[in-house]
Amino acid sequence: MQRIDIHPTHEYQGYRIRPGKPYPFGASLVPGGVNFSVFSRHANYCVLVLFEKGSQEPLVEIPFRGMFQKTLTEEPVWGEFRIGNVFTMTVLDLDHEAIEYGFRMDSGFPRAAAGLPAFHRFDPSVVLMDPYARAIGGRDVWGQKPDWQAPFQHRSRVVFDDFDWEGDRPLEIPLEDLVVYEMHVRGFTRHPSSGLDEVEGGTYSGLREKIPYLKALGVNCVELMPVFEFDEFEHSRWDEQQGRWAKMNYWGYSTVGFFSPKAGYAATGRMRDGTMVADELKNLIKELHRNGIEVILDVVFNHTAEGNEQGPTISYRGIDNATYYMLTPEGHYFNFSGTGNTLNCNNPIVRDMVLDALRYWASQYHIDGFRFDLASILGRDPWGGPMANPPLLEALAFDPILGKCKLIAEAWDAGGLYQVGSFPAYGRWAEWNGKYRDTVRRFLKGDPGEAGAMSQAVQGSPSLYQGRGPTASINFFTCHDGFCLADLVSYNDKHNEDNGEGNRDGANDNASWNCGWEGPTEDAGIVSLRERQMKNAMAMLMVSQGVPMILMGDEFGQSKQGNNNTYCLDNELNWLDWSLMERQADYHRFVKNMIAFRHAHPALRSKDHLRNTDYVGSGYSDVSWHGTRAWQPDWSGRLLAFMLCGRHAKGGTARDDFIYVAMNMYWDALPLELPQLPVGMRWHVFANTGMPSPEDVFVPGSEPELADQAGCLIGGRSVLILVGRPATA
Amino acid sequence: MQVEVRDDDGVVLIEPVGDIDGKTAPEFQQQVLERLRPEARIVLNLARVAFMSSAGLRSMLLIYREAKSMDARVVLAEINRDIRNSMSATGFLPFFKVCDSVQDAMQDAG
Repeated sequence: MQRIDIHPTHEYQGYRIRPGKPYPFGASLVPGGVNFSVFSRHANYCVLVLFEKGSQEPLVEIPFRGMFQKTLTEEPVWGEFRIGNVFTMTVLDLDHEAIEYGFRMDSGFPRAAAGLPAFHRFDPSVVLMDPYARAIGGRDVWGQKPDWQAPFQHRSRVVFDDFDWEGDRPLEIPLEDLVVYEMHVRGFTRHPSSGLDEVEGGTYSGLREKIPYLKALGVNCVELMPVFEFDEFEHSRWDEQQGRWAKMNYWGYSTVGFFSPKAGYAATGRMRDGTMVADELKNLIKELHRNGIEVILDVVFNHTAEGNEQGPTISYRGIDNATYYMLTPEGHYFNFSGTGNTLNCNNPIVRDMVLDALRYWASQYHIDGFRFDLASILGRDPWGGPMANPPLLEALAFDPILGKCKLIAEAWDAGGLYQVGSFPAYGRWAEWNGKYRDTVRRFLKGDPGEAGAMSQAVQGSPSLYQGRGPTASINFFTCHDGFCLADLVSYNDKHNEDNGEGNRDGANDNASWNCGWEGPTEDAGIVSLRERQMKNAMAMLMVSQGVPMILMGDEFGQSKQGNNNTYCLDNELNWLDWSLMERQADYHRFVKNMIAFRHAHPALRSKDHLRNTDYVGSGYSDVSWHGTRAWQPDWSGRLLAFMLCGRHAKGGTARDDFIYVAMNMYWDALPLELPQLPVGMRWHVFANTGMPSPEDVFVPGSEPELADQAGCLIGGRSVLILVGRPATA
Repeated sequence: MQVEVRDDDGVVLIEPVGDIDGKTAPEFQQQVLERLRPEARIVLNLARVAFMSSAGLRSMLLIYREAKSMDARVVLAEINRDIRNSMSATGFLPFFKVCDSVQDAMQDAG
């Protein structure tokens, strides 16, 4: 049956229109045309500006209020296409692929001067990007210089949102079973060693080509650094001598549009077809899911790319500055993000936008979870104060569409709010556990007195997450911020000169140790100690309760030459060097087996905190603590050992081996007395980082029996992992 | 949009000329669907298609699906590199049988 509302009611310069539908916001394909809908509380005037794709001159500017022509009779007629604070019209017979669109808005408020504080920044001379744009043109091919003089830089496009998912849906892997791989879409395959060509290298499509590698590595979740449309040229600087960009907004923590995938990450970006870019990302996600790999997006809702009073007007500030941003009583931008502005997340309108965006990504792109950059900002009220019960965080936790999505907070912000362990969780939120990172780093470098703190870390930080369980803790040694693993064991201090800020940027407190020499060295002893330290770190991470996350490149031991803040570098420091897979084959083999070990042992992946008691009657506590003498931990030392009883795996519902882990961060070898196993069981060696490859690690299930079942020597700065299971006949 | 069609020994050779995009895709689709018969053997020669948009890709998929439901067979031939890359990146490629030349496609379809 045909709809009766597909006929135009008005005409404007040959374009046939009718009153639109306010929901959903943005541009939607409807029978016969495109429905446009945009909110502004403070604008009293709005114009829809349509462009032919790529053109600087508009095709037409259709006001939402004014004189039109009646269809058929062509009589002049007054029209107003607005419901409440929403301007909405349907334009019929548009070729949605061929157009780009934006809005002009104005109000009765005085014009704000550039650089000066103001509550309203309406400027009808500017064409504004739709905050709900599903695709954005203007930066279609990564690094391709835009026309800076063009008045409309970030151009909203219409997306056809159908896709043949072939039955795909989010995987819903239990959080405790995830091994997360934090990665950058471009960095993953941009390096020539990836073997991909110019078109595919550094794209969603390139990532898809490398899925077999991720599967072989053993990770079952990729966390993509920002893939919302951003401007890689924001704060960019051209190096005349080198003939390349010295600085770029490479990481992308500066959102232009919350509903649009980064076009420059698509191999098809150069086709300038928003739907195709969406298809490419969806195809990547479908293939990842087919291979058992979940997708978490790193989302940046704390600020936008519009900067402070000096910044460009792209969209939000020209649409409703006072709604979208947190402003001081004088009209300055609050800067809790450290980047110039702060999105007004607990304003009801903005809160809805964040929810709409996440629902869109979860339903249209089958995203499995989200990691929220500087998430503590999402718990601040419109005046910046931290709230006890932040409506946005609560809404996200209870949202029906996001009901099975992983929600992970970076539980701090640049305004001094630090909420690791106290982030409003509503039984849903997990956190990047910054305290885990600090503890394991200090323990790894041999700081005295860390064994007690380390025992908390390997249990999933129960003192931080009492009642929330170990899955509240995303465990990591390294992430994109700060040193990568190779640099954590090669540098005492950051070396960020390449960023052009006199080495002032980036964290100073790294808890790193260079193993005796700052930076690269030929000294075989130092080189081998560094590799051992990296293995130690991977071992500690993979035997910790909670959710392990590794950083792209750390599985090869790739260095960033001591730069701990490579946010602005589109070069080899950030591009994964695939040739290291061979050059670091021994270490890479260790990492793969360590990941496989975690997957093989449910005792390492408890959903609830360990109880330090025997509640199944096995004769052993679920976890027991040891030192150089069995059953006698030294909480103030540099050696910590623990044993997991496999009968308690997954709360006693799964069967597993006994697992014994000894971590000796003292510089000398120490004798270890081993806890006695039940009769008939024998200790087998899974890993010993004190041994050279290939004796450092074994394929899970093929571990050789330990010669002396009562005790052994553990090397200095080494990790020993044993499995206790029935003796092989 | 111009679509040339000829019958070659029981195989229908369809040759669209020009871009297949939001403007032309509906017509292209209609012209091909009109020629679709149960158990037909169809070769789509794309040698003279320089550009295919996401709407074009969708029309191809719809044709393919329709053909399948009629036990007809559709083989693609002479896709240029850009279109092939787009089809690969967006996941449309695996749905189709693709041949380098029309001759191969005719053989494959027949």
